[in-house]
This record gives sequence, C-alpha cells and structure tokens, in this order.
Amino acid sequence: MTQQVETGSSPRGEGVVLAALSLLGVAVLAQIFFVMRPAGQASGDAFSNSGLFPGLVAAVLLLCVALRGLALIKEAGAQDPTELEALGPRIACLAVLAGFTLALPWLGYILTAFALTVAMLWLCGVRRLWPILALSTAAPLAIWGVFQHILNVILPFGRLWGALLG
Amino acid sequence: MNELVPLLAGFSGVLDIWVLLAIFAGVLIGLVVGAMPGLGPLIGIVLLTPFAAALQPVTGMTLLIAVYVGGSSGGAVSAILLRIPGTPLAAATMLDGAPMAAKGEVGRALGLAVGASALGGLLGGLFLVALAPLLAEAALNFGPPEYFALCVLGLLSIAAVSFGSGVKGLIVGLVGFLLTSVGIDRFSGAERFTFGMDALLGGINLVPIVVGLFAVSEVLVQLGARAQTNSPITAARVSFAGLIEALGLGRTILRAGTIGTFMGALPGVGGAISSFVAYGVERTASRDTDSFGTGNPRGVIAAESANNACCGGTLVPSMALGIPGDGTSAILIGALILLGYYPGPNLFSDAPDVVGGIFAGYLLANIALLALGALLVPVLVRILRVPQSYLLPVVLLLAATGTYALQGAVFDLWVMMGFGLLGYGLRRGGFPLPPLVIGAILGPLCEENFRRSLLISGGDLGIFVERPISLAALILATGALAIIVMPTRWRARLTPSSAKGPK
Repeated sequence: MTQQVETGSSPRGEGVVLAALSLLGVAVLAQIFFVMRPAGQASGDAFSNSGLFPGLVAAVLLLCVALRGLALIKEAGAQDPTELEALGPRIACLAVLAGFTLALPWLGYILTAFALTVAMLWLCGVRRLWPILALSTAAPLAIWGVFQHILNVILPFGRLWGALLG
Repeated sequence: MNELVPLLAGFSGVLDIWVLLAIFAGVLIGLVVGAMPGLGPLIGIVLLTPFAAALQPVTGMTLLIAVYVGGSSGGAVSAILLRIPGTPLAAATMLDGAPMAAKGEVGRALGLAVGASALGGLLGGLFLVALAPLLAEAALNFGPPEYFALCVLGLLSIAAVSFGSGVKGLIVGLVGFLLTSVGIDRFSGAERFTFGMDALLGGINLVPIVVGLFAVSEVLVQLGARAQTNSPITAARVSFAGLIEALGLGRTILRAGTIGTFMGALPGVGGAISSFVAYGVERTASRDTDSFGTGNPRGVIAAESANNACCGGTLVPSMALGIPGDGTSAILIGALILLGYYPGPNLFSDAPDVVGGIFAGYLLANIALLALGALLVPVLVRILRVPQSYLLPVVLLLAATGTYALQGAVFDLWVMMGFGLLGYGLRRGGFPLPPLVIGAILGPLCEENFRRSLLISGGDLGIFVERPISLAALILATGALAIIVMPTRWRARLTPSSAKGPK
C-alpha cells in the first residue's frame, strides 16, 4: 500500500559522477597551471597565490576520487546491477525548466509559471483538465501575489508585452 | 557573560507582529513539509530562503528556524500514521509510534509526539541560550590556525558520519570548497574560474545551489517513481491526555533532550542519529525493555524530544563559530549571511539584538509547535492524502520563483538547473548532499584562515600544530579521517541503519 521513493545508488551512477568530478579536479588544476600561473596569479606567498587553496583542494579531490574509484572497481563485481531509472521524465522536466528560464524575461512570470505548472502536472501523470487548470492558475497567482505584494519583489512582466503595449 | 544582557534585550524584538506571524507561519509550513514523505524541513527551509531574504533579519531567520522546528516534529505524523517517517529524524519515533497507532492509540501517540517535541525543543533552546554566548566568548581568543583546524574538523566529521562511504562525503564536501573559489579572490583581487563571465565575478550564490541540489533533485528523483502515500487512517486528532502524559514524563524528556542537544552540537551527527541514541538510552534505562518496539510511550517521547532538542544543539556551533553542524544549519547560516550578518563570535557583540531575536524566536517556535501541533494534526492527516503529482509542480514552481526573485537574475535559474542535475546524479551515485552545502559555507572561512595562518608563519605549516586548540582539532580531524577511510562494512556497524539516508 505504501511505497517510498527509491533513491538507492547504482555503481554505474557512481562511476559517472566520479568521472565527472575527476574532470572537474583536472580542469581546476589545468586552469591554475596553464592560465593563472602564467598570469602571475598562482605564485608567490599565501597573499598573492590565488591558486594555492583551490589547487590543494583539487589535488585532494582527485586523490579521493581515485580511492573511491578503486573501491568501486572492487565492489562492482559483488553488487547486483541496479535497474536503470527511466530518464525520459527527468530530461523532460529539465527541458521544461529550461523553457521557463528562456521565456521568463519575454513572456513574463504569470504566463511562464502557468505553462511550467501545466507541463509539470502533465509529466506527473495528471490528465484531468479541471485540476490542471485550477492548480496552474491558482499556484502562479498566489506565489506572484506573495512576492509582489507582501515581499515587494517585482517579478518580470514580460518584454514582449511591454513592446506590444508600447 | 557580559554579552548576555544585550542578548536578552534582543528578546523583546520578537514581540513584533511580523515576527510572531513568521513563527506561526514557519511552524505551520514546517509541520506540513515535515509530515510529507520526500519533503522534510530541509526542503522547506530551502524553498523559503528567498522569501526570508526579503524580510527583516530577525523575521526572516525566525521564519526559517520555525520551519526547522515544525519540520522536525511533523515527520512524526507520517511515522505514526503511515509507518513512513516524513523525515529521517522521525525514524526512531516510528518504532513505538506506529505500534501504538496499530493498537488504536493514534491520538495518544500523536499527543506524546507533539508534547515531547515541543518540550525537547524548549530544552534545546535553553541550552542554546546558555551555551552559545559562552562558546562565542571563548572563540574570541581563536586565531586563524584554530579556525582553519575547526573547519577541517567540521568537514571531515560530517563526511565521516555520512551514510555509506565516508570518502563520498569528503568528495562532495571538497566540491563545495571548490565552488567557493569561483569569483574574485578576497586577498589578491585576482579573478578565479570565472571564464570571462561577469555573472561569476561575485561567486556562485548559495541559494541556487541549495535549491537545485535539494528541491530540484528531489523533484527529479520523485518524477516517475511510484510513490504514493495512502494512509489507512483517514481521520485523527491529538489526544489532550497524550499531551499531558508527555508533560508528566519529565525525566525522559530531560534525558533525551540533553542527549539531543549535545549530539546536535557535534558536527554531522544530526537529529536522526541523536534520536536513535536517545531511544537506545531510554530503552536501556527502562526496567521494561521488551515493551520497546511494541508501543511504549517512552520510546516516542525519547525519540521526539531528542530530535527537536537537536535543532537547538545544532545552532550552538553554527551561531557561535559560524561552523554548521549539519546541512540544515549550513543553509540557515547561508540565509543569515544573505541577510547581511556573518555568524561567529563577533556577531554576539556586534548584533546582540539579532542573536537574541533568533534565540527567542527559536524558543517561541517550540511553544507555537505545542499549540499548532495539537490543533493541526487533523489537517495534516488530510494533507497526507494529497497526491504527490499535485505537489511536485508546486515545489518546482516555488523553487524557480524563489531563485529568480532573489536577485532578479536569469543566470541563477541556470545555476539552479545545473545543481539540480548534479544533485540528481550525486543521489543516484549514492553521494550525500549535505557535505556539499557545508563545504560551500566552510570554504571561504577555511581558505581565509589557511592563508592568514601561512602569512603569519611565513609559510611554515608548523603553525597549525603549535597551538593547543588547533592541535586538538587536527588530532580529532585525523580520527575522523581514519573513520572515512575505514572499510564500509566497519563503518556500517557504527551507524544506526534507519538513520542512514541521503538527506
């Protein structure tokens, strides 16, 4: 009857993360040695050496990633392969967020928030029209009201409407 | 102790109507997000941080702390009714709360949980008021080497108690450290890792990081998951007798609350572990050990008192040293910085009214919890029946709106998305998220004091082991490092199984 959301880890997921973080560590060191040092920003004493602390952190990060990577190689054989999650809804969710971000300055808050809520409700499996319309209208208006009238934070009206209305 | 007088004067600040409203709203929101499995106080605080940033400092911080207090207690509702702890904090509450519900004692169990939460929280608040100024006074004598050593100890301790592999916790914490290197170097004024982007000159804002990491990644995790929480219990209310019963078990509350406070003050331990420890101690102290796990009221009281008292304990090092004890207090520190105040010993002398207001707000939030918890449980039972499919879009909309509203910057939305994706990847890879936020908070403090120490010593690393406090902290940090590199199966024995989780 009840089921908790599965957030268990997978060796493949961990491997991808470790690979990405090792790239991050290498990129930081490369930036320090090939960009900051020639510019004189990563040398000298503790005051002038801007690369000292991030360089140390990146080196320790790479060491830890290597340690964990070795352990993962040992553990991988003993673990059952975890079922890969469906990535479709997650990618669609990020696409919706990207659309919201791109459209927000042009179409304004109310319209983009309405579209985001509709799209997310659809992604979450809601298919009944009235709940979709009700929540997609009420939630953006309520949040807009709180920000605009209680917190005095101005949310974008939309450049497009500004241009159209002169 | 001279600081205590202006601190107490700051207590009068909470009598402002907006502060009182913030307390009630915060506890209410905390109870709701705490009760809903998958959300919890951390996400509640994350989503409300942009709102809090637009308020007066004491009002904003009180709102967030009230969410923390309400959320720490709200998890008990779903733990008792659904056998699913709304938050990992309530996992120990479930052990006796759910059997009580099964025996038809739902109201009594909820009454015990609400009463114990409020009293435990008040006890934690009293310790906070008493201990934080003392620690802050002592910390005024700390120099850069001591601060650097404490930062290293803080990060390593949190990584050591992270679930699964400690190395993973350390990796994530180091990524947090690296994030704080972006922007203009405060010492030399050089640009670091900005890639020519003006938006990165001031560094990466903490709000899009935490909103992306916790809220957006939570939405991504839950999307498509078959998560539904259908409670077999459709109506419940808090029994007044249960509340009175909790008040009568003062010794249990005192014992568990003290454990919760002191464990909360230790970096990385957190409410989940402290509630299991308090539960275990109560069971050991009881003459009737066999009844624990079958619906013993003392089990519910011990677990709930400890996890709410832990909130107060966590705030002690956070406020006095600026070193967070867990992910939630790291976000609270971030919010305080956003509001223009840097936590640490100087805050107690520079802005005692703000510190006093925050402390008083914490105490009042626990009193409000007693009233609201008792009144709102029937509403929470109804809210538990709202399908997650209606909740996720609202969480995402709040996350995006709050992130944008903070600076009116579209760039922050891209950062939020990036960290949402990173958070999702980290969770799928079994990495804990809180060390990243703690790293992002400790990073500037750690770098600044590391470089200052080297400047003082002329580049000699021996400065870190010449001073007793710094040496002691580094010895403890070495112990934490030993736990981190310890094989996973050995570490698993040190951590209560139910206390493990990504949050």
